[in-house]
Amino acid sequence: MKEQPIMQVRNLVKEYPVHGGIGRNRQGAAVKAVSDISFTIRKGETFSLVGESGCGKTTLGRCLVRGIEATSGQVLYYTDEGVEVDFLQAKKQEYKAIRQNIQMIFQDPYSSLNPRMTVYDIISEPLRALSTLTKSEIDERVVEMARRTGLNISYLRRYPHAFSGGQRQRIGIARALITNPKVIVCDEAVSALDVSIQAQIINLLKDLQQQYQMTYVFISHDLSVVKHISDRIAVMYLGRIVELAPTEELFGQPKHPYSEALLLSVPNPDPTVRRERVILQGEVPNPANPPEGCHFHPRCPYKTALCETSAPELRDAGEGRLVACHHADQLKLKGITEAIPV
Amino acid sequence: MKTRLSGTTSWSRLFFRRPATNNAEESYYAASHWKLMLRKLMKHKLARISLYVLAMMYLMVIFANIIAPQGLDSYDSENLNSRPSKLHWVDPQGNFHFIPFVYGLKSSRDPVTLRKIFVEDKQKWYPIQFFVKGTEYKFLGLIPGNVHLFGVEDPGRIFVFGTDSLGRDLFSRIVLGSQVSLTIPLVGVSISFFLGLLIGGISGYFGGFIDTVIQRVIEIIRSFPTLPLWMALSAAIPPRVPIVHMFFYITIIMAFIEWTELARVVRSKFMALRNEDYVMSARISGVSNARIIRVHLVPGFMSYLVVTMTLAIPAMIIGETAMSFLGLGIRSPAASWGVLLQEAQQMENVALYPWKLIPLGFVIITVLAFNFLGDGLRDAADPYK
Amino acid sequence: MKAETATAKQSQDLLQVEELNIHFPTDHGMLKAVNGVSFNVYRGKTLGIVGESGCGKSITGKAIIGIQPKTSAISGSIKLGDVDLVKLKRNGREIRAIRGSKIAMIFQEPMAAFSPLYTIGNQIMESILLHRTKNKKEAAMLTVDILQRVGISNPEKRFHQYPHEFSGGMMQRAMIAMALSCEPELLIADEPTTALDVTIQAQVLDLMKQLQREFGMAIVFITHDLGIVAEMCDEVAVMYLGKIVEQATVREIYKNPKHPYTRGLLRSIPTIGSRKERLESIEGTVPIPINMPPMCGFFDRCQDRIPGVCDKREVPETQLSDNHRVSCFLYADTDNETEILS
Repeated sequence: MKEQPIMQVRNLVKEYPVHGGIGRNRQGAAVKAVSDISFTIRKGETFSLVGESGCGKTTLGRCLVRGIEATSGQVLYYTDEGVEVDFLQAKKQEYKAIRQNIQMIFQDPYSSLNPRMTVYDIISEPLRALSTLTKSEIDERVVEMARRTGLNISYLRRYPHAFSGGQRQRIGIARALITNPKVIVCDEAVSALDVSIQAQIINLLKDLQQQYQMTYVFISHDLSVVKHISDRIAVMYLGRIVELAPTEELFGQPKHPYSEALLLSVPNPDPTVRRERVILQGEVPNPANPPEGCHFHPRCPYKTALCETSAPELRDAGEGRLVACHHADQLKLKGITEAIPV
Repeated sequence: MKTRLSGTTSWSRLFFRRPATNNAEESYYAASHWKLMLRKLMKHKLARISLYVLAMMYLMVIFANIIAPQGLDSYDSENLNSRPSKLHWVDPQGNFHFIPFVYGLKSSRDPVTLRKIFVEDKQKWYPIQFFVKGTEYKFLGLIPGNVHLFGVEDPGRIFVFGTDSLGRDLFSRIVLGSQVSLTIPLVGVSISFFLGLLIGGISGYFGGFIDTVIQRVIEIIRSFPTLPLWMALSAAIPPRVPIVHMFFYITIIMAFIEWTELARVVRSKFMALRNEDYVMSARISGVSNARIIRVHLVPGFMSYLVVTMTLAIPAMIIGETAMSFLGLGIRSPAASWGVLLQEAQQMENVALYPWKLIPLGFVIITVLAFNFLGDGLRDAADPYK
Repeated sequence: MKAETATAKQSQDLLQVEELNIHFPTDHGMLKAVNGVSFNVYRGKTLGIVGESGCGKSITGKAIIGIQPKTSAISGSIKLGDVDLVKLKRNGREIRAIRGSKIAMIFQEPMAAFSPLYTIGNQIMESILLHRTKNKKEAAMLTVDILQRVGISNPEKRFHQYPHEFSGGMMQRAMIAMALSCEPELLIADEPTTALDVTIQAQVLDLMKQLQREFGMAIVFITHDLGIVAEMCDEVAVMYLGKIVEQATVREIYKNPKHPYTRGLLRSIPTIGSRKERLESIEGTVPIPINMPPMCGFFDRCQDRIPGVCDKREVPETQLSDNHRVSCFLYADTDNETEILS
């Protein structure tokens, strides 16, 4: 069941123009925030996009939900009947139908709720915009969704300023879920929350996924959270996917040097377990002027002359894994060995 | 003040008392943006006082005909440049009167300067009466009436702020002039609000070429020196027009410059809010563009717009006063505070009849009140801190 | 024996914070941001202060160098040697002499620490000129030296650059350089890596450890990340609602957490080294510490609460062992408990 695709991204590109001259002479340089990315999301899985700031994961996520318009490429959505529709080209009725099925949860629970609307209005807005339900049907759905996301019914007439970050995120989740979507893009959905609240929201997301058989596209920079929640992970670097693998395999033995560095940079919260660390030199280059060849080569401890000139393709590496490294087969990279749960 | 006014209408409770109900917390949580803003505004002491002052000023505007003991056209050739009347409670016989009275005036010559001066005639005294019949007027331009708040019996005269060189009661003229001086800014700001919202909105929403053109036009308008511009524009007004038309022309002249500021606020807020997460969230939820503008963008900057508007009013008051003072605006016999100050143009007038500067006090108080209120509103515009 | 260890410890004492209170008057009552906090910082050691947002950890750090907000009322004592920093005049000559030379601080946002109008080198040199030498040439040399030591390559060139020419990670290094330029005895690090990407965070943490070995300064490390605490600190103080609820060595806290809040916190973090199907979360949200009656602040969220005890009076502190103390009725002396129960 999990093998069935629900969304497929094909050659997605998002460029931002770099403002140079004025008037019509604006052509020329463009920053490729997302450069030619393709992957498939399977029905019912949690697919994570990880990477550091500026790697394009947020832009990619927003292109998936058409929060911003991609420069080129396709985002195919598979309806229940198995029909393939390009969401980016969808118009009118078709657009509304798919729109109901692809929703998003935002990172910042403060700026993503309009401070001038009541919680009821915030949660019900997608229904009012997309569905043809009557007022009382909408009421019913909102109350039901509030209950499922752990919001008190009496909160509905309040304004967002009455709530803490965790509760606001519940409101955001209720809003995203109100149209019964099949796919939810969670853009750093728990990053802004305190640890104890973070756990509540992660558990809520997991419960809701089980209840509604949803597919999550989980965007995060926090590898501990990603590890906990995802089935498959795509590691991004400078607008490209460098590695895509099932969670266990990626953490157990990464195949791309950047994945390795990312995993081993995470502080280890267990002082009784010693872990290898790889500390990467340098910083992420400016996306407006990415390095030649493999984008990662200036920081890569394993680079060769080949890496400086030729960009590696994302290729099949067996076991359902994809990797974009010339030397993936030769390298023996370290992963994270699991500690026995205490 | 709080205790005295408690238990009156709900409106006054909103203004004078914070809600002290048991579920004060819940009422805070369910309070809309505007309610929160009002709450925060009321905590700003100067703004609160200013609000009361302005409320009184505008009550004066509404009831001007009743408050003013004389009409706009009334004059008294017997009492030119008369000083403000003194109120007395004790008569020459030493009896105390509960209601104050004024003495009659008789004119005489100053033995040294030979100037005409007025001395109180202790033989005649006129107690102040309330709701007396006097000059005919039309209340709010509609309802005819002749009752005035206070006055004295003929031939007594009461000049609270003295008279001008034509013997017109200054107090009456200040009160009646406020009808012009305090409404021109409101109408002017409303016009510039409309223009600013429309043009700024177009500029912010469409961006690109249209935005560039509009911004350049705004810059050109703002680079005009205001005074020559006013002079040029008012020169275009036909010399003999009814007072209502005059009023309308002046408002347009004022708004012509003021809308640029509002348009800029609208544009920048529009652009900032367009990138807010909740706007993207609405887009993802399938909300139409028109609705995003109406529900998410416009309410988002409305509070800032109110602030800008409030702070624009003083400039308009001063503008109107300056224009009238220079003889470019309202002209006698119609009154505005600027017209009244015209008499203070001559040094001699100020030196000999200092009460002719009283209209200036009204201008200052009103301008300050609007500025403080604007300050308070600015602090309150983001009430979530 | 006990007296001996006490004196041995005393000689290592650098900073003693005792019964520190920082209160803010608000419209609704007194907000007790920090409420009776005591701890010691030893020479060359690292004390971690962990807690969620609003627990008072950051303001405690600020109070040590006397930059708590003006509106606050502060009481208690912060002793650096014989000097009580609380008693010093706000921004007076004495505290300014201590700031920079004996105690330095680094922040989450390095941009806030530098003025955009002056070069990085000039700004670091300024504090050297203030505290170490009057000779400009020597100061410039010392500045280049310190820039080199924090791992900024090409320090002579970087000296003349402006803050906007530095990337996030480089700025953090520059701020550390500025903080360490006068070789302080104590460094207060307030979430210094929170705004950084993991790979850069790893670089900065590594640098801080190395510099601590070189300079021998003590560090108060304020963070919400339990992983960082485990890697960086010798001792940990866990704060909740303006109080230290538990303090112990790092190993002790992770192996043998006592306070229900600490235990909840440790269970609620997803870790990449272990697999858990479901995170345990602490239910509820942090209350706002305004007009709190004398009771345990964690009462509403605690799984082990004793109604009638925990919500009735101030929690006593219990010394469990030499290096472990906890504020919880579960561990209170039995004498006290019978007294309460009777």
